[in-house]
Amino acid sequence: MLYRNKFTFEENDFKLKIGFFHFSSCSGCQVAFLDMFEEAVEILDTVELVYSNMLTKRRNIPPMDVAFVEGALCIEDPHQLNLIRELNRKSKLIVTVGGCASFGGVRRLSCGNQLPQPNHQSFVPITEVEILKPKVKYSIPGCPPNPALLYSFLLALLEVNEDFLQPFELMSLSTRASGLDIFSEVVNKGFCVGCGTCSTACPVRAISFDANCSKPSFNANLCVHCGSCLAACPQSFKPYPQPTYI
Amino acid sequence: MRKVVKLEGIPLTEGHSGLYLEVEKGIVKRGIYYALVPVRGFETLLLGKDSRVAPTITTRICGLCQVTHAIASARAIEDAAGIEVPPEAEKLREVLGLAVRVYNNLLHQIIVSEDLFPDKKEQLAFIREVQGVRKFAGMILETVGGEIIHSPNVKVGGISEPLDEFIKEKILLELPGALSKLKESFSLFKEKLDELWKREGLDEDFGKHDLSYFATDLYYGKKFNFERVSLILPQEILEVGLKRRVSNLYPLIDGKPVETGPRARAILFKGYKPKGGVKELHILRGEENIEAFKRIDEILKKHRFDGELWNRTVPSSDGETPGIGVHEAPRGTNVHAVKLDRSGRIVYYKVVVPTEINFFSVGEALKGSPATKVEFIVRAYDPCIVCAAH
Repeated sequence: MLYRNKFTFEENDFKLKIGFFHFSSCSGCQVAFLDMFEEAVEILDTVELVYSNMLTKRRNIPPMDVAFVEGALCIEDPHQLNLIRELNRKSKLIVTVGGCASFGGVRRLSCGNQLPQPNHQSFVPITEVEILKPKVKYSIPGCPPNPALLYSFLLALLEVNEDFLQPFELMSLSTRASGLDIFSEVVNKGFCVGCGTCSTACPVRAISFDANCSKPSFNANLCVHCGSCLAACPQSFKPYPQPTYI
Repeated sequence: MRKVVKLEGIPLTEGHSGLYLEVEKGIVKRGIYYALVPVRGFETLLLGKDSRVAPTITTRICGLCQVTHAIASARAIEDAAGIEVPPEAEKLREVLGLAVRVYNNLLHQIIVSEDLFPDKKEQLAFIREVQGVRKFAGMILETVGGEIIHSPNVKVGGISEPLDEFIKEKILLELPGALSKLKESFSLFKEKLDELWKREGLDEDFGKHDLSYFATDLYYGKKFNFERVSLILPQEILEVGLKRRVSNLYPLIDGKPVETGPRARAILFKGYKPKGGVKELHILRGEENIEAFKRIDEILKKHRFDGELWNRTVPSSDGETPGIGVHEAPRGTNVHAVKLDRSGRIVYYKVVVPTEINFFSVGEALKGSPATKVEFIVRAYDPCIVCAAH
C-alpha cells in the first residue's frame, strides 16, 4: 500500500490496523461506522481494530496504519493535547471523519462560559492542527457521514482506489463547509444546473428547492457547517481549485 | 489504611471518564465517577439564537441517543411558548424515542460483547445478529425522523414530514421478524451474562445501592417541576487536582441523589421489585427493547400519520416563563429547560441528561465492591459521557 512503502512491512501482518479517536464531538461518526450494520461486521473481520475507547479494551495506543478521528480539538484540555501528540507518533495516516474534525462544524459556534469549566471555548478542527497536517490525508464530510459513503471509502482505502479517494483528499485541504459556499463557489460562478443534489445531501434540511425556481434557497440559521452540500455537488469539483474570473 | 486510586479512561464506555476510589484492603470505601471530556457549551451557544433551530443543534449533543435531545428541546420550547402540538405528532415522536431506545440499547450490547464473549468468532456472530435488529430500528429512525443519526424532522410544533401509509405498512410487516430476532439475541445475551458473572466470581447483587429511583413515564416522558432539580459543582466535592479538569455537574432530585434509567422505570411504573445489583440493569434494558417494539406496533396500528403533523406557529414568550421538555431517553430522564423572549430568541437554556443524574448512583454502587471489578459496574450503567459534558 502507498503509505506502507516508507515503513517496514512484516510478513504476517496483512491486516490493516485501524483506530478510532474521539475528540470534542458527539460520537455520532463512530456510531455511523457501526450503522453499516452487517457490512460493519465484515469490515471488523477484514481489518484489525487496534484502538477505540468504545469498542476495544485496550488502554494504551499501539502503532497503527490508519487513524480515524472525529471531533474538534479543545485547546484548553491537556488530555486532548497529549492525545494529538500521541496520534502524531503512533499513526501513519489520519482520516478526519465528519464536520467537526474536518471543518469545525457545529463546534465553531461554541463560545465557552458554561459551568463547570467555563474556560473550554476554543475548538480547532483536526485538519487545522499544525503538527498533524502532514498526516491528515483524507476528510470525510457530513454530520454524520452517510454509512454507505463510509463503507465505500473503506473499500477504496483497502483497494487503494485513488480515483475514488481523490475528492476526499481535496476535502482535507478545503475550508469551505457551509451552504453559503454553494453560492460563492457554484451558483455565483454560473456552475449551478439546479440538480438538487445539495438539498438531498444536507443533513439538517437547510437547503431547499422550489418547483418553479431551479436555484437553491438556503437557511443559514440551520446550517451546521458539515460540508456535505459542497462535497455532494457534482459541479463543485470542476477543476480544483476553482477558476477565477478577472 | 485507605489508598486513593484514580482510574482514567474506562474502556468499553463512551467518551473519556474517570473514577476516584478510596480503597481499603482491596474493597472500595468511597467512589466518585466523573467526566473528563471538554464542555462543548451547548447551553451558552444557543443563547440569542432563534428557538426554532434548537432541536437541530441540541440533537448534536449526542450521537448515540440523538433524537431524545431533539424531542426534549422541541417540547421545552413548545411548553415555553404555549404551542399546541398535533396529538399524532406526539405519538410519532414517541415512536422515534422508542426506536432510538432499541437502537441504542443494542449498541450497548455490542460494546459489552467484548466482555461477554471470550471467543472472537462467537462474538462476531452475535454482533451480526444484533446488527440485523439495529438495522430495522435504524430504518424506523430514517423513515420517520429523516436520518438515522441527528433526525432533522423533529421540529418545534411537531414533525415536519408526514409518514405515508405504505411506509407504515412496511414497518408493521417487518416488525414481527425483528422482534423474534431480538428475543433470540436477548436469550443468548442473558446466557453469556450468567457465564460472565460466574467467570469473574461476582455476586448476584454485585453493585447494590440503596438510593431512591426517578422516572417520569414508562415510554415517553411527562413534565415535572424543574425546581426539584438542584445542581452540585464538581469543585464542591472533588479534590484540588481534579477541580480544573472534571467537566460534569452532579444533579440532585429533591435534594437527593437518585438513579434513573430502565430500573427506575420498571420500579415506578410496572411495580417491579428490585433485587439490587447491576446485573439486572442489563436484563431490564433488554426487556425494555422487547416492550418498545410492542409499543411501536401498538401505536402504528392505532393511528394514521399521513396528515399535517406540524403546527407552524412562531414561538414567542415573555422571557420569564420557563418551558420544560422531558423525554425518557434510553438511559433515563432527559430534561431540557428554556426561556424565550418576545421575538422567540433563547435567553436561557439548561440541559440535565440521565448520565449526569446517574453519576452519584454509579458512585454509590461502587461502595463495597472489589477494586479490580469496578469497571463492570460502570459499564452496566451504559454511561454516555459526551451527553454529560454537553
